[in-house]
Amino acid sequence: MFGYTGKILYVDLSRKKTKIQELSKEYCKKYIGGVGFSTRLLYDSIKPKTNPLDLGNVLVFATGPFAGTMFPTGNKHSVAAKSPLTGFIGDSLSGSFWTHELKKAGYDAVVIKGRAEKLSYLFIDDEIVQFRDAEAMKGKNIPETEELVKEEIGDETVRVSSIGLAGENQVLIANIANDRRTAGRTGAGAVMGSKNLKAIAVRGTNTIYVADLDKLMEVCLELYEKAQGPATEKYRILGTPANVLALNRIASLPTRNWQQATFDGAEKVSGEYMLENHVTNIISCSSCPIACDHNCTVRNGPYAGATTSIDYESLYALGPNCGVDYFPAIIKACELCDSYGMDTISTGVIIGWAIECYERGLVTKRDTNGLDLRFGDHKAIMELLHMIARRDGIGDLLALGVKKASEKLGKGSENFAIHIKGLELPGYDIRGLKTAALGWAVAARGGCHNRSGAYDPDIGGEVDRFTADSTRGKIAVETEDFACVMDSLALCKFLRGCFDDFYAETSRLYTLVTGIDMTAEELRRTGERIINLKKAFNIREGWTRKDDSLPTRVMKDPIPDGIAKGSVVTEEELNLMLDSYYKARGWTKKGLLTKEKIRELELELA
Amino acid sequence: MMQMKVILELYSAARYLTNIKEIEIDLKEEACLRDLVVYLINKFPQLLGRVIHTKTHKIVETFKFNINGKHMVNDLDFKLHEGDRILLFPIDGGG
Repeated sequence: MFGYTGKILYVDLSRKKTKIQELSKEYCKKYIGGVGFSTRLLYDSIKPKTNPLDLGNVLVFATGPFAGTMFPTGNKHSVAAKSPLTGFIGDSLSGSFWTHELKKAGYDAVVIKGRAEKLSYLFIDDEIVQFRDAEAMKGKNIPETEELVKEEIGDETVRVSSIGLAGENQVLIANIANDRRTAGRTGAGAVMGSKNLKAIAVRGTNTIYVADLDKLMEVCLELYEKAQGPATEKYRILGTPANVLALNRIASLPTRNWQQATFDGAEKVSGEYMLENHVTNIISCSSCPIACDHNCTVRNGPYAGATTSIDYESLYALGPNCGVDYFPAIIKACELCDSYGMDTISTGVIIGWAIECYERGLVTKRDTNGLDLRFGDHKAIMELLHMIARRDGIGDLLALGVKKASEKLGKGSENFAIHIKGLELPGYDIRGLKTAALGWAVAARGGCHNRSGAYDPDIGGEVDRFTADSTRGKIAVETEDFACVMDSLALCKFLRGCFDDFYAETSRLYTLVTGIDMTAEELRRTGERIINLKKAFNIREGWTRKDDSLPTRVMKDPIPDGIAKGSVVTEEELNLMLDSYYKARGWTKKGLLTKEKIRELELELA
Repeated sequence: MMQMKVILELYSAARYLTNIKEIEIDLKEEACLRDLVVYLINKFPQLLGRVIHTKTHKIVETFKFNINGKHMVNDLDFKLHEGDRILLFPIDGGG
């Protein structure tokens, strides 16, 4: 095969066995790769109602068809499992060198089941797969783990994907990291920890062949040029932290656990401030001409020496959402999350919730090991972050994610727990972005800006962001299908502005790489198929319409400040938009799949 | 000819390239966003090819105009009014 390796590696950690499944061209065309592959593999491999932290859950790593080629930003992979946070399908994309190393080792995807008897790591060395002892890495953070694995294998060039202490402790917001990138969302790190799997090292020496090298090079060179032009200018200069001041200005910057939508300290945590004071170098992922990754360092003060990459979502969650306007503290908090292996968005949201609980008297110093939790008190926040990773004191409660923690604490704290389906929300106040509110409500993995681009029409001025109507369903469907195709081709979304006709151009590129015929309409249809399969997975797990909801605060507490003052998404508005979305999807009014739709999309459902 | 004043706020790359946070601009009465773009090209040619397309003189896709913090506007024929605050910024996420 071209582009693909045509092989999936199955690993049974309990029995220390592996097997290979050959992929057909039909399978590849129907599910593309990345999120498409991982969705199909999860659906076929997990029995319904499996506890996410039990042996029966599987962990999938799936590359896209462009991984290992010169295609810009094509080296991303999906990491997927039944999410311990949501109980529904969970997936997250990471990227860079580990991805193409896996492809070069000969696999399009790896499916891991069972549980190792003791802490272990896998070494995938082309066709040889070794199960290795990782007891010496117990409790180590991610950078140390990577180093230890490389040292033990005796090869600096192997690529390592691993969990930190949070994953080992099955903190439900734990992530999996490789090459300074993370598959951050939905708690796959906890699933990896539950399998006693500390790391996966990969060494690949094979060559990836493409169907039409000359034409592919020609088109890719054009894309490289575009990807270094105006369409990506903002990412290269400030990175995504450019959003801070803009969102603050339009009152869409969630602040102090979404109690406000503007932040009085916004200038001090802006991308502009970051560039002037903290950026030390700008890095790109493997095969990426954009280079958005702004590495920041603290030069002096209590957090001197802290260094990590800062992007907008991390910045919002651990900055304004926790009331923190001291940039060095945000860098330190992000560094700790990256080191322990915890999703920065979820961590910031759950800390914001904990502080509000404390300020309302729902938890006291007795619960917090004496910590006086206040918005903006970065020292206390740093302590809390350690406690979550270690599951120490109240950290054990917070390690459950904000949905489960608020259900356990009760006392009305559920009303200000900021999540959808159990996944903590990213940094866009959707009370004044109503198409985005719909897109996030229906997203299969929960509250997420990456699985639905429905905020683009709100922010792009295509619709009135403050009102809801029945046109939003179709818009949300289109942006969701588009995001799904990008995630299945496993491309970075920052490339999206570089296409004039996305489906036409990427379907042609798909054919140039794989040799498999694909029309623009077939590619779009594939996105729809995968979204429907995700929905089928969730329905099998007990999904009902009430799961497509929004945080109580988004529906009951109007934005109190800024230009969006008074905005809220009412139940009536949400229902109107949900009806229009289900209709546009061809689903029933209850949001269930129809036999006709299943047949039309050729979805083979067990 | 009657004139009106509007205020332009620049963010992100637009601010970085011009080193200006906001600027008061005199435009002809009943001017539209296109007139503002013409002003920008003349005053800040460094924005060409980076925030404003060199050939079409449209704002690049990742940047938006916003009027008074409320609504984003794509239509360059959008009429401006005395005292309007016009924001030029990019917002999007993903990755």
